[in-house]
Amino acid sequence: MDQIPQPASINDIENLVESLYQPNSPAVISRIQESLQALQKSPDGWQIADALLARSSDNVKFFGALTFVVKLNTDTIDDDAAKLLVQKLINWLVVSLDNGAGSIVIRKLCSALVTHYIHFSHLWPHCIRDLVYCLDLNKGDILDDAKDAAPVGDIFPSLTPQKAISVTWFAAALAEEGEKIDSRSSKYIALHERLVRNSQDVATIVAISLSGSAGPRVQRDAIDALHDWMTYGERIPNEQLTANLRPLLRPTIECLVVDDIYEAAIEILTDSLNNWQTFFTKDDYELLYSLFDSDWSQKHYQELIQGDFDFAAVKFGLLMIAFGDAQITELLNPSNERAQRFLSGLLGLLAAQGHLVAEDKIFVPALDFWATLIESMTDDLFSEPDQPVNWNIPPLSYLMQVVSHCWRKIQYPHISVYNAWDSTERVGFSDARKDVCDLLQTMYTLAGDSLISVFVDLTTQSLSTTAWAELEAAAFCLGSLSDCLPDNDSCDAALSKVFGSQLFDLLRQGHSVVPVRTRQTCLSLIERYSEYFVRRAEFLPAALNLLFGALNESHLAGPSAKSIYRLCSSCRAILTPEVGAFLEQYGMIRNSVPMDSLTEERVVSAIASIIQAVPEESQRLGAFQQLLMLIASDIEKAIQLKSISFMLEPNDPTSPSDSPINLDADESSMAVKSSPELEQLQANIMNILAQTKTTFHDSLQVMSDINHVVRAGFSETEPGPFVFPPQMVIDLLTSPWHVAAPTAVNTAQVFLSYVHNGGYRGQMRQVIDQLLPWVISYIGMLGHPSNDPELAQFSIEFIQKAIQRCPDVLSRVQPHSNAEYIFTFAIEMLNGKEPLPKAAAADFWTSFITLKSDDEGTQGTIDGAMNQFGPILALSLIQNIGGNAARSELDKLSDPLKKLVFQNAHARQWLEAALNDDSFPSDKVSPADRALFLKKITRATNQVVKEFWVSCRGTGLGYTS
Amino acid sequence: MALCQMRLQEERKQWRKDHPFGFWARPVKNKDGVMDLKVWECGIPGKDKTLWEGGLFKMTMTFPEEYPTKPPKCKFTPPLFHPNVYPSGTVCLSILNEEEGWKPAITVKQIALGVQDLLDNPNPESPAQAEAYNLFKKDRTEYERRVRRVVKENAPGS
Repeated sequence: MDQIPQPASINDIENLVESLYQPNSPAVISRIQESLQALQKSPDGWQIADALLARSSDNVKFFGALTFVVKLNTDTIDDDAAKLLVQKLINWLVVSLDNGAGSIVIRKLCSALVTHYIHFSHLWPHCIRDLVYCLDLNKGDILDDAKDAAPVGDIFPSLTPQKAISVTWFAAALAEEGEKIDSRSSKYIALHERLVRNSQDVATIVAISLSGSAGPRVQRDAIDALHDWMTYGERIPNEQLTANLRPLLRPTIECLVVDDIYEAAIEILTDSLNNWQTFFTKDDYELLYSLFDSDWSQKHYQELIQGDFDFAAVKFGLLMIAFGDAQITELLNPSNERAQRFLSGLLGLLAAQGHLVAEDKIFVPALDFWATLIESMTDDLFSEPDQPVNWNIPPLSYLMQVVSHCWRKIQYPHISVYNAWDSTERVGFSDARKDVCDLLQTMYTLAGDSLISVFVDLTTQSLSTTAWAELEAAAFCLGSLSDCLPDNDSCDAALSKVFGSQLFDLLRQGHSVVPVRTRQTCLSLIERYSEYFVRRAEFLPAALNLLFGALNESHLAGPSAKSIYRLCSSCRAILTPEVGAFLEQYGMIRNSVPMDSLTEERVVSAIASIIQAVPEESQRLGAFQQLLMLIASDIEKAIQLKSISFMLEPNDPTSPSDSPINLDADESSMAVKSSPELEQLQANIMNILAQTKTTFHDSLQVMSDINHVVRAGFSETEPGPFVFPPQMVIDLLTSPWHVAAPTAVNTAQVFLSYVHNGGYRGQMRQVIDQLLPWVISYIGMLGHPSNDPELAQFSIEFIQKAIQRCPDVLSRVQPHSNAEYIFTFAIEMLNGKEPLPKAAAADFWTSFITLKSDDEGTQGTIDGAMNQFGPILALSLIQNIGGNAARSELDKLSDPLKKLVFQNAHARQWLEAALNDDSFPSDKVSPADRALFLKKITRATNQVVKEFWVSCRGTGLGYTS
Repeated sequence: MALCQMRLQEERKQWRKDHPFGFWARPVKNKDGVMDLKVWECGIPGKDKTLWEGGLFKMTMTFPEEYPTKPPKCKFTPPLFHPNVYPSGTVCLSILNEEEGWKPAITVKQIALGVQDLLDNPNPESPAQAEAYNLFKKDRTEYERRVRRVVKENAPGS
């Protein structure tokens, strides 16, 4: 687009300002703005501002006032000029008020005066008084005479409403800007002191305005100004200021009943009750109590709970809640009748008419209040356990009503209503339900098992009346309490009323009878109370049948499978006699019900967990074999279908996380006794894995899953189908892996830990002897670590573990050059840019530096290698620390450095050479700095390393925490 | 009351008043049902219109005695497949690092939002687990497939 021509006259500038307000493309507007900003910043800015304020258009005047603000903030002027300037600004305010300029002009002039005050408060410290005086006499240049004038309280009432409002705006802007200025900076201490001194005049003008003599608009602006001053006072506490402002609270509370200023008053009161409760005196609270008892309050309250959720009504509710929050101690006192009466009003806020969130905007804040109250009750109860607890009088007696209101509120509306909600309303609804769960859990601490009974009763009642939404909400609440229950049968009798009812029968009848959401919530109840079914096994078959039946409904299949898994896992010991039935059931449904992989995986895991619990070995293995056959047939199919790129998700019945790894297990625990059946099973599994591996060698996903199956047995402490003999694992690992070589090497390094900690420690040497050459061959093929950082990382991790377990393997690596190659490779990794391999290499070197062997020959090999590679290692470490490494890597890199310094007699000489090497990456540290660093690292290495690194990289990189 | 406790009470109040949509966070309760303000459980939802949409991931925030001078430790339970989550589940994020971006003014809400943001914007500069990091770097398709599976496993109500 065309350039904006540089304005040559004030008329041009005026036109340009006006064009800013014309419809234009964003690009044009931005050009105009740039051009105008350049004018504001130019030395002529002051004159331009002055000239623009003399024009008739408000837009142009506004821009003139704005230009003064910009100049004040960017230019430096002396006190004499500043004095003239404030007089000029007041004159412009007088003139603008006189010729009826719009509020945007007046406000901007006030903000220019405030900007002036921030910079030059010493020139007119009593700014409120001065401004009132000047406006009263319609002159700016009499500022100096103001000190002899009558008090503000005498002059202010005679100002015209427009003038009074402009002083109020100025006062408001003063606090608003003052609050942003750092009160701790010595530069502004005097400014803040002057602001506090002005607060007395502010209080005077606000009090006069609040009296209402000048009309509601003046009152509203006065409340806004007070709000700004209170925010200032809260942020920068000062006793004098607080004392000046406090008397204004009472008239503000009285303003609530004036319709025109209701919103401003309620806003400030709610805000300060939330944030500055100590600002209120006892008398103020008394006044608020009587206000809440008044007819006026009753009217607002009734409107709100009858479903009027417009802005003003909701604000009233929020004021009640803020007041409740401030009065919690009183509200907890059963003998304070007035407080209890008020609390009953807060109870009612939970039962307003209208749907939660979409309509009812007060439930969620009210719920938060009740949650806080209940938490405080609990705290009281625990801190004073001897205090009598009476559930028949308020506040405790209200709690069951809270529960009842919550239960009603969280009921889902009719589906047509729900579907009409937007996503925000739906998420809000579901969030509010979670908040209700939270509250119920808190309340359980107080109410105990009686709360369970409440929802059991509500569940059975709604069941008998087939009120589905009520049933859903009752089951939801009941479910939310499952985690709170103690591990005993104290609630079993109550729960049996639900699980022994006709609930399961009804649910089985499908969605034509019970709506989906209700079924889903009720089904999840089974999962939540799975421990109950362990104790009450008589209900278990019905529950499981129900869940299996739900697997063929797409929207219920996922949650049902999860419940099946949870239930079978909890009740595995009871279910073992039924294992055959489960296998049969699974065999049937897998052919008739389309299940996604996650659902099927959960069902298989459920059955596997029962199989695991079968006490008798041959029965257990038999059942396992059956399950394996089913899976094997899936894999068989997958192999056949490979040609049409069928993706396989092998189900892994033994998740590695199922049982904890016992690293301290002693060697004998793995009795390595295995039966012919078990051996056969293991061979079958291995065959399946090997076959799958060959067929899907190009799928990283399948290869990774195979590794997960192999690793599953590593966390077991007893013989089992997945606890393969080491040779089987070695044979599989050392067969070709193609794209998945890193995953296999990773399995190999985990395998070493397993062999060491499990029952095969005695075979460690043979294991390493077979796997090490295989790993070395990989790094040999790699050439450089950067060609496959992942493979490099796992390989070096493997080698680190291998030499730690059997240091002598080093001397047996053939050919000998291979051993050298490993060290060179580990140096290259340390020099590289990849963070994980670098960390692995640092670990490798840390281990190697401290490696010791009782065997003299082996120790000789270690020492020889250390002497050969020490200087290169030192060079690599120093280059990293000298700036090449990232900051987050320094801790890792400090480890080998520390070990080197403390373990090796040559370390100092190697490090010195490295520090003085031509290749040192930084020129920001002098040779003396380097020498000092070397001296210091013999003490606190890590910290010294970090400081040195910062010096090497240059300043500005230190963290300020 | 200790600064740590006071600040945590305030955090709880603020969270109640204003927390981002779809998130939840609350202090855990001990055996007696009394709240332990220094351990919070939270749910971090995957951001809309990202790979992570639909998942809700459980995370524990553990606040040290020195909080807010020192940051809380955030740990996904179970550990999450993500380049910046350690195999233990601990989140590696600059604002949670005392020596990097942590400031005492950072709120629980900001942490929760920061972690949510990290889900779809991993930081390849500080990898914490090899598996997710390496897939993220060299096989984006497989990485995304894995993420989708993790999301499915962690979908509320699944």
